[in-house]
Amino acid sequence: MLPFLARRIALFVPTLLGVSVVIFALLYLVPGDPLASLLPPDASQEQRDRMAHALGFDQPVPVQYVQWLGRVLRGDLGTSLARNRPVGAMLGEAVANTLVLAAAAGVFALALGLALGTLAAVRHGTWIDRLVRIVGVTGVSVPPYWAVLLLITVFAVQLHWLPASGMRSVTGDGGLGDLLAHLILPALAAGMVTLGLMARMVRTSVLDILNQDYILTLRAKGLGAGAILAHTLKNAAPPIMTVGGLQIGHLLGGSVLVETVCGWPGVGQLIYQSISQRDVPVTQGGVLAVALVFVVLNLLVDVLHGAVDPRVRQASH
Amino acid sequence: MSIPSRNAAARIAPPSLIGRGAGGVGPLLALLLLFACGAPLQPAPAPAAGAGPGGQAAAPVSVGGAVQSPPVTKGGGTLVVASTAANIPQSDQCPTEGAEGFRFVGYMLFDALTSWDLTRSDVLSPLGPGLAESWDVSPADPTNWTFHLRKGVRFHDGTPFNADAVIFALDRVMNKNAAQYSERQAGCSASYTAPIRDYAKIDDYTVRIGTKVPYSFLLYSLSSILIPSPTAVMKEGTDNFVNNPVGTGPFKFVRQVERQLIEMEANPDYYRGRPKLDKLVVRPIPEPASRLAALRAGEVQWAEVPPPESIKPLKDSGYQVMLNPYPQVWPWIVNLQAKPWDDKRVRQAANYAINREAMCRDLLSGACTPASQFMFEGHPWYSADVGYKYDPDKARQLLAEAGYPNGFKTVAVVPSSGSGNMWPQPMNEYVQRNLREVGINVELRPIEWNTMRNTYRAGFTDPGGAIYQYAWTTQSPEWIARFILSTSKPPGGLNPGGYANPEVDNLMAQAMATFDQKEQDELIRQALRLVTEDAPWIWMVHDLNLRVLSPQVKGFVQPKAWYVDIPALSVE
Repeated sequence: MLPFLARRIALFVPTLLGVSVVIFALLYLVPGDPLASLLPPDASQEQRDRMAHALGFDQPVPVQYVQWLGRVLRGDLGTSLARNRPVGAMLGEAVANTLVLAAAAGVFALALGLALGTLAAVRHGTWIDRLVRIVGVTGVSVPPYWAVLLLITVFAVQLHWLPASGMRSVTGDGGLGDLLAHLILPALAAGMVTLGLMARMVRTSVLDILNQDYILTLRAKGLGAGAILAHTLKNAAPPIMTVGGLQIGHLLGGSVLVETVCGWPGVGQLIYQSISQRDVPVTQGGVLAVALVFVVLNLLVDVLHGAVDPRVRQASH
Repeated sequence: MSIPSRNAAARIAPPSLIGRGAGGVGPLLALLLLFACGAPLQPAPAPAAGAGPGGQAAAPVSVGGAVQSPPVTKGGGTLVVASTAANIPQSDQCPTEGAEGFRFVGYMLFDALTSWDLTRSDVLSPLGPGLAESWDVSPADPTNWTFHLRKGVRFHDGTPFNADAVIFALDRVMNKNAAQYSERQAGCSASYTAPIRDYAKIDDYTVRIGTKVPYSFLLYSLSSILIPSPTAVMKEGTDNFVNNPVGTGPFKFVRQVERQLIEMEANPDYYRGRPKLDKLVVRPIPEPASRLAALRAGEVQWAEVPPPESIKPLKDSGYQVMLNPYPQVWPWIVNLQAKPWDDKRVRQAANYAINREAMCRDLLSGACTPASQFMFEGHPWYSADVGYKYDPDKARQLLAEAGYPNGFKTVAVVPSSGSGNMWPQPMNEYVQRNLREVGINVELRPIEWNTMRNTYRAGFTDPGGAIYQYAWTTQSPEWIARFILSTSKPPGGLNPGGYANPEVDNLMAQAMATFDQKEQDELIRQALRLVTEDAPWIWMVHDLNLRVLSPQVKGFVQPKAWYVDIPALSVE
């Protein structure tokens, strides 16, 4: 297990490096320029040159990249061009906010998806199964930004039960109840795709296992329904975990559109804004953070695979 | 949207996805209801007023609107504004988020030497005294201005406002050797400091400012140079001042949360009297549909630019829908240096081909007014005897005269969102249809706002592009000059089409050196009259500054200006 872990962790470095090179290159290949956001449209060439120099943009792009990398290795993600604040601090706030949203959406979607999927498989062919399949298709096919507007229209605008946007109330600094109230609608919308995918995925996997000969054997031996389900779930777990892990990654990567529509100040919204302002250091830092989340989650999923499925453990030696 | 890309300050495009509708209900709703019922909170239908101190949101808040929180000083309540900005404006001497930053934060926290009088809706907002009470221009040397400063004004930190503070502020954006110099603030203020040659303190309440040439537009430039507290800048550090800004304005800075809100409270010692409001909160909500939802849910009492199709339903449910022209124009700007737009008749034809009335009435539900020229009717620079109305037959005739009886093909580069551009996609497609009717086939090339700014700045360099759509403020004669002077070439000039008319240049030069307001207005009017005939732009519409206020907001006047008089209003 340990060498397996070590090898996987060693792979982090080239993966993240690759991501950072690609993002850096992309940001310079697309048209547009960070100075356009900082200077008036009629700024003189001299002013542009001075600003470019002050920000280090007068260096060749590879040199800029190496300087950036050097700072990152020392733990400094740089300063936001648009906000003139340390990128690390901005990312910290944004990631924390996204974690809150992702955790809520994840718990809702994964738990419900697992329950519904299993239920549908066990009650295969009944109305419950059909309902779950409808939920599954709806979840993956309804665009979250549309769903969230619908939710806002019903629960905030019409019923006045929940706030329409933001993370905390403007008046009063808002306790936990305030945060939760703001959390519900975006979490539902952000978790919908995951819920749909999970329900369908779990249903298929469990159904697949239930049709295996060894389950028939277990039944023939007179095992109870609960015990059979336990066996089934353990065997259905690997693909479910893979999909679930990636889904958590997606949730953590920031549900850009849901965050934008709901005014949730998470990492997705931050990256989206930084791209439109060509705020290169923020985009870089944000994408790097999201990439890191994916890489770590993939590793976790693999480790869990190993724990659940001995075949994976052996293959990795 | 809707920030007139007016001044230099309009730097950041509030990204705006086009508003999306909402409709039918999916099977998920049953589940959602379960969740929603479990929520610990029952936000009152009435907005922000209550919600007691310390965030005891869980307690059923009494709805009546009685403000129980801070010391009740016969206050005018809390106003929460949903602005179009992508983020809270950074409230330094030169705020970010463009003109939106000046409107909702800059002018709330700070003052400048001159200021806009925004108290009336029926006349054009005049520029008048601010921190300077009066000024005079030396008759012997009209580049020399003397400003007499207001006495007894204090910054929010209690330090006095005086000539040293003015010099400090100018040094911060102009003097590279000053300790407080900030490259960022200097860059941001570049358009406003450009005409200034030198400046000096004469005594504690008198400042002399010299311009590079006789320049009567200086008062406009100075209205955008805000004056921060020197003590606070030095205490916080010039780069950190933005986190704790201190000015002389009607509101004091309280706190800000990135991408969430900036909160300000009334300045009881404001030199024009304490604002009626107790508290002002500005929230950045770049999505039009989200702004509308926040207003309807009662979370904000003021929403900038909701989707235009919401105007009627909002009016019907008792909201105050505010519309008033202000100096802004939404044009297509053509390249005069290449065929076919080098021919005046072609440009006039295009101007006659646009059905502006229908565009405002049918497409934008009345959120704009037709633009027959640079300025709207009633503005001192407007000429009633010239201008363009919808006349497709005349357009076809002019095209035929110019040698294009079968029309031609051309390319327009248009932004997908951005500052002051209103609703670019449907509007540009509308124009495209209008022009096709007279034989001009336009290919629209949408690009991102940030890219658009650089593209425009560079001039018509790409041989493919012949037209730019780019909305502008026309509030200040400085900007008018930058659009039409033959010397205002890119990069750095704002006349990318290369329009040149020596008579216009001459009139504008005279206006710039004329210190009598009436005479100056008349010279600019004459210049713009010639420009209208030459038609270097295809003028389409004037924005009406669409904003919606909840019925609880009292005393708001929608001025004929981009800025608003927030201190005068109150919230019940």
